Amino acid sequence: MLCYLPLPLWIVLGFSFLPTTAALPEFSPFPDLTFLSFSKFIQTNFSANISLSTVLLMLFTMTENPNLLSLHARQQYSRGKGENISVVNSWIKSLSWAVLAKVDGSGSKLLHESDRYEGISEKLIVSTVAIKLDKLAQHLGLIIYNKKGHLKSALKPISYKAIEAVHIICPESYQCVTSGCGFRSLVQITRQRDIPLVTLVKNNTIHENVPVLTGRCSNCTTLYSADHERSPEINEENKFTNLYLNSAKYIKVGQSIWVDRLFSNAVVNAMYSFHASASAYMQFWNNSFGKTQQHAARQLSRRQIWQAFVQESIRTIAASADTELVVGDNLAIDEITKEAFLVLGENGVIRAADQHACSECTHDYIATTSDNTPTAHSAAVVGVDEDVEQPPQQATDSGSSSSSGSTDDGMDVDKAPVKMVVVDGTCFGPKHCAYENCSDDLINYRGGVFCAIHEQTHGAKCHVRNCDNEKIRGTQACQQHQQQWKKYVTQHKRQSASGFRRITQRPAENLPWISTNERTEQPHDEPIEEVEYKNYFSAPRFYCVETICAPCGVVIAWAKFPKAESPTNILAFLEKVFHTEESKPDYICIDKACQILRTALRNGSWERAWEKTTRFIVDAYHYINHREDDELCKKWCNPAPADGSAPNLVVEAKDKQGKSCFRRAFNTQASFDTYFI
Amino acid sequence: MLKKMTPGNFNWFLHSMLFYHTRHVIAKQEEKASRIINTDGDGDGDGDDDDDYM
Repeated sequence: MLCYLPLPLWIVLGFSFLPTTAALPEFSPFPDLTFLSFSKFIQTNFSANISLSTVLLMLFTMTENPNLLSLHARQQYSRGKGENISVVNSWIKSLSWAVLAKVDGSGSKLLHESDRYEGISEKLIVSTVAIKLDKLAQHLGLIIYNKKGHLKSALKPISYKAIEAVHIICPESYQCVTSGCGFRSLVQITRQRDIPLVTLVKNNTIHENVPVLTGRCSNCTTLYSADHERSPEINEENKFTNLYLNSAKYIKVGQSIWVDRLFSNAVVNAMYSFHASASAYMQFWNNSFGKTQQHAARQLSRRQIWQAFVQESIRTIAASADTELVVGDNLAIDEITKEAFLVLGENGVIRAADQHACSECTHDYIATTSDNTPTAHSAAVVGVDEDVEQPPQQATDSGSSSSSGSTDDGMDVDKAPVKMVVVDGTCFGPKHCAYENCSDDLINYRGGVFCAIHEQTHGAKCHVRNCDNEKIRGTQACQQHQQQWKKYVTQHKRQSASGFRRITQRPAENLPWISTNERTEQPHDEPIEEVEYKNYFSAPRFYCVETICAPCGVVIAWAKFPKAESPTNILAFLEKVFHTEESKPDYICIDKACQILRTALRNGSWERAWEKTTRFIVDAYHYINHREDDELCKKWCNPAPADGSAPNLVVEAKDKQGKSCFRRAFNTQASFDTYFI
Repeated sequence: MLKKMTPGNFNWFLHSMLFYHTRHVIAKQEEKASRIINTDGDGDGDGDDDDDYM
């Protein structure tokens, strides 16, 4: 049937299948008039002292408000009975008033000398400027009526394509900054025909065919780019290092794509605020900005978004450390993140939190006396046990307490204010080497199970523990252990994974085909038995990420624990972060503090590192449940003793009725967990 | 998202996020502190105005 259609209809049908951008608004071209004509108009109608900025402001005010000019023009003509003509109507007067408010209220910079006189009223100034703006609109051709007074159509938005500035990406330095070069000038090294033309995303607008220029110092041969400097290594031939410039205006994120810092900052902020992945941000940006602009290379890829995140975060963190990242030449993006963490990661210590102190995480020291040493009977908690006596008030003068030098219950009180930190862990993490007691990075993250060393020693062998046979090609087991391998493959199929997901998402659902596996739950404050895997078929994940936070929410440090959140691991982490006596907080709140205290007493770290400076306390929830059957927890780990034995953990406050009451001095719920949920 | 990352990317991503989080918390605290100072200042100003009216 279709083959009988006439040719013109075929053409129409063909065009209808072409990709269209229906959502894109139509634009009018920028006013096309000579500069001489425009200049003469300005000289005739406006002040002789009018500045360039004021002229440009008026020009762009006209091109930015086509709708208002249409409304104004329509009121200048009458089309029906009772419709009044208004030449200087309130539309154009409103525009005049806004221009005057921005430029100069008195109109002295705008009005022509012949229009100005002593005592001119504000109303007249507005009307005079309105008339000039009307003339300007007509001069620019921003009118909806032709010379005969016939209505053409409403004005469309004006396109600025014709007046877009030419962008060139070039080095920020204008001279060589290498010591010994004597601030030589930089030479543009690329031949005209070889200058790369790239896509630049600036202010979320795509600019195509932007030239990228590189400078070179003819003395030290350092290459200066817009976002980095590449210099030869000293005493190393054909080896170069790249220095990432923190002050770079544009960043290279792809082979021929550069972005401004607004873009890269937005990527980091989206990942922080919305927990957006690189892929999600890519979709958002392409849908919001890419598709609305008519360009060949309007789509950004996930890799380019990730590159923008890495480049921006490196520069921000390096700037806060007052340094610049220097890495080897031609590194892949995964290598750059590794290097960045090695150089700027500071073993998980957050530099922004260095020396942080605020009213939420520090309090003035309150002296304790020998009378209020904790007793086995002081198990009541402020804010939880309502029927307890209120704690006795202590002297709050930190100066007097320090000078008294009373070192009650062994604590060094010659320092103020009192600080607390909260330690907490979240069960998640990346995969690591499956070999026992090895938590190194996998050499192959897509299906690999060993680190570089164990891949070499065990990669070709059967992946069942203690089996030294060669594995059969295409499997991970030897002939003898093929049964185990097949079982593993069956259990780890996509269909099985969805089944397991259903069980974990709906634990109460009791369906006949789901095997009932009675499990004993592991209480968080009991020692964890180490699970020994029978094979190395899959790579295990790090058990948890542990964070040290201040009660106000500031993160002080973080670490990954490969197998368990054990007291030994936590103590080692704390000692690594708080390695000097001055840096140690007065209180460390952990949900398993009693276990940690017990381990510290057993392994000697209590006497060595903590006794003089720090106390371990648990959170209120743990304490209420544990105080009944653990004497050590009850006596030493109370988060806010109601008997006054730890006055630094309790503060006086007013309740809703305005009555005096006692509250816990610190927030013990501070953690970064919510980010990962 | 974090589960699919290589250890190198995971370390850097988490460190960056914690760094930004800390900066945000500190910035909020500073903003809160300056607001309190400004409110106190305004309060004094109001007091002066009241005095003028009296």
